[in-house]
Amino acid sequence: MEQEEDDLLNFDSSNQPDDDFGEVIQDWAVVAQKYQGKKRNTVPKRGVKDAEPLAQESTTYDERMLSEARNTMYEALSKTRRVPVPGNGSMDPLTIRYDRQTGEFYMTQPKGKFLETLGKTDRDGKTVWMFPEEAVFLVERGSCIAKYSDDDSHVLSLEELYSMAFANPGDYEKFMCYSHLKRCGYTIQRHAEYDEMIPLVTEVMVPVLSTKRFQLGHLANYLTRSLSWFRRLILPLVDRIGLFCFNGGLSRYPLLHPQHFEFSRYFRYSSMFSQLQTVFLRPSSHQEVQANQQTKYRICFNIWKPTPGFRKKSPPVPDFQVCVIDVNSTNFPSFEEVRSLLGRCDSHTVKKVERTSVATGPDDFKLKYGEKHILICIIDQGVMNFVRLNDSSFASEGLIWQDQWLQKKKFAPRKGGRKNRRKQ
Amino acid sequence: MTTTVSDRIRLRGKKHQMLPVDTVDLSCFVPHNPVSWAVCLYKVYAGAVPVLPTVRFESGNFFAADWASINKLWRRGFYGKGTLSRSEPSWFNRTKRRLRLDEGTELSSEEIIAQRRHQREEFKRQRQELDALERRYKLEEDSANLARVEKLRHALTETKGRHARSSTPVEEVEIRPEDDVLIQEGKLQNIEVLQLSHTETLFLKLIGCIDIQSEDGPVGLKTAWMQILGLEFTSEDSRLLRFIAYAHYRSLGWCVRSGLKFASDFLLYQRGPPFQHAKYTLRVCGVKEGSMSWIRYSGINRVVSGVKKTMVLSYVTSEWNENEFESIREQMECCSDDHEFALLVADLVSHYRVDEVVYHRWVANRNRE
Repeated sequence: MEQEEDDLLNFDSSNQPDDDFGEVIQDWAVVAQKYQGKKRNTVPKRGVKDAEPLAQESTTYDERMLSEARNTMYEALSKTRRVPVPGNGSMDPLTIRYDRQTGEFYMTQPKGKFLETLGKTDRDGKTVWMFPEEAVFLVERGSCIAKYSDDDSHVLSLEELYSMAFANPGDYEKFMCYSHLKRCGYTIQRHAEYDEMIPLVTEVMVPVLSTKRFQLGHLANYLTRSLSWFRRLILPLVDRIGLFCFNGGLSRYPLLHPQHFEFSRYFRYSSMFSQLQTVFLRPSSHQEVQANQQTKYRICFNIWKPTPGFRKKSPPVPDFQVCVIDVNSTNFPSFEEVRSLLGRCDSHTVKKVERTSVATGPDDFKLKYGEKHILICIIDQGVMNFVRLNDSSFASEGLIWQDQWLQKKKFAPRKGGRKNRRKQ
Repeated sequence: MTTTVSDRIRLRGKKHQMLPVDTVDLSCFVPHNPVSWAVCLYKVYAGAVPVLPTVRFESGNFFAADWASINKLWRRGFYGKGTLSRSEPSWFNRTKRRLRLDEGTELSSEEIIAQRRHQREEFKRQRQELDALERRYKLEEDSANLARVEKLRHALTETKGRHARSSTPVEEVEIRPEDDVLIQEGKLQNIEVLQLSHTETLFLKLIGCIDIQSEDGPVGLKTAWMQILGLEFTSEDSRLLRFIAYAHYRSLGWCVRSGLKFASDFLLYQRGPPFQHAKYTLRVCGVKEGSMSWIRYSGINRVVSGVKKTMVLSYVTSEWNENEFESIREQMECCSDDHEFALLVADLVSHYRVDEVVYHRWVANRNRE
């Protein structure tokens, strides 16, 4: 059942070219086809819009199209939907209990596939404790009904449930985020910061600076490609000497002197840049960040992509972590807040394609997606949008300029880098 | 600027450096030929003869007006912008071609774009025709012809953008009223100049790569600084932060150009505009300035991601105690020597740090796998 629902959701999303969700017009042909048992192999493309009638008065063409569409809809609707509705006899309703004294949600005699990722099971396995958002999600979805723990006769309405579950400001926004991600198929659990303290000081990783990583592959590549390898060995040496005698400490005209370039001897542009970097390169130096306890940016949920074999007792490192904030009362986080968030979160960016050692040029994936990332769910009166912030370090990619760009073989494709990019 | 493959090869054939100064060229070195050793030794001894590009300073603007300087500043690091062009100063060649004075020159990016627009219009016109046909056949319930139209439409979309190069629109020689003034003694006068932004000017002047001349003679670094930043700046002055960010990325070898068109401060090109699109846009943020609302950021991100770039927030942070900053600023005020002034600027810059945070929009349905 869950699989089916997911499939449908998938379907809707693949149908849209843009990111906006929820604004798709139902195409009954798609649903009808689905229930006819046809297997869909390809993602259908969006066609030309065909909704507008051809003329003011009705034409035969329009009539025919309209009746065809209407018939498809009827056909789709006439099929039985295989979604069980609790309480109508086909299935026993699962009951979530709400304890009025403690304000806790729990389920006795737990069963149901959803418990694989939801709730916290007691040691004896007889009771499953739930967070409010989990309970409300299950009731809203129709998988369960809710009752007071001491009153068996009254089934709680959604309205009652909402008023009890979302007592604190911001709770409802968090629930929105929770249920949206849940319906998209993610596994999602509360993070410790949801209602607890933020760890006081976090260590922030400082990216390691490397002007040029020395790799054996590079060297081999270098030697085999170059015709006059000797020159390649001599040139850097001459360059060093030149730097020392003419451009550096011994010179009467060091860098930033107006006559510097008149009297300097540079043999490669990269050595010019390395001189400039001594003055202008200002890489990060932050070590640790004090967390502000008053901050609105708290990590609320851990999120995992749908993976088979997920165990809620010993979950793996989350794929994403999300903060939920209200747009109208919260500004974009300050730099310190972002640093602190990134320091606190432990979801690492997973790289899909490993760079080969031959690739030159900057590692675009690393620049774009960094090592750590945090999601921020921004909500404006019920409209939801996700933003992903991640660290990046342009300085750690070293010098972008490559001296070989000036070599004579200009028409050959740049080695490695280009091919590699195409693969990605 | 989208360039076709042939454009890229053409542009790559020219030498593009990243700084408008020369290196000593030792490519004549042959290990087994002592004569070449001598030549190289002489070259090292003589050094590269620097011909610094001249930048004129008039009424608050810095610009290069002579061909040599324009070429040098553009080809070597893509500094500045042609005042009559989109970015590369190409007015002269375009006008030459318009007046049929020179047939051999290559198409400039403006002309390539005009061509592409022309093709797109043609495509849209054909598509409109097909739409009209389709409507007619629908009304007539003519299914055979409808299928034919569908086939034609398919063929049209297939060939879209295929013949990018071949169909150069042949135009009549267009004579405009101002052409009389432009041509003097049978030669077209170049009236376009290359304007440098303040940040670029400051960077180039600071490292000693340009000469600035005004009507009253040469302009030194301090005078240029006074014109651009003044001496009343604070430690969080946005112009100062932008300069520091600019110099940071330039020293890493990126080609940094203005990002005004993309709601950003700077664009980062890996090599330069002729080679590939910029992949990153920078927004320089001070730490102390009040943070903006989410709406602003997501607005900028929409623009940036619409042109397939990545939005990078570049935080320029500093740790000053008030006296330190004031003392540097006072020293800068008193200083008269250009080199000393440059060292003070370096000292000022050394108090800042540049960090990056990348902003992406995230969509739940697209990140499941």
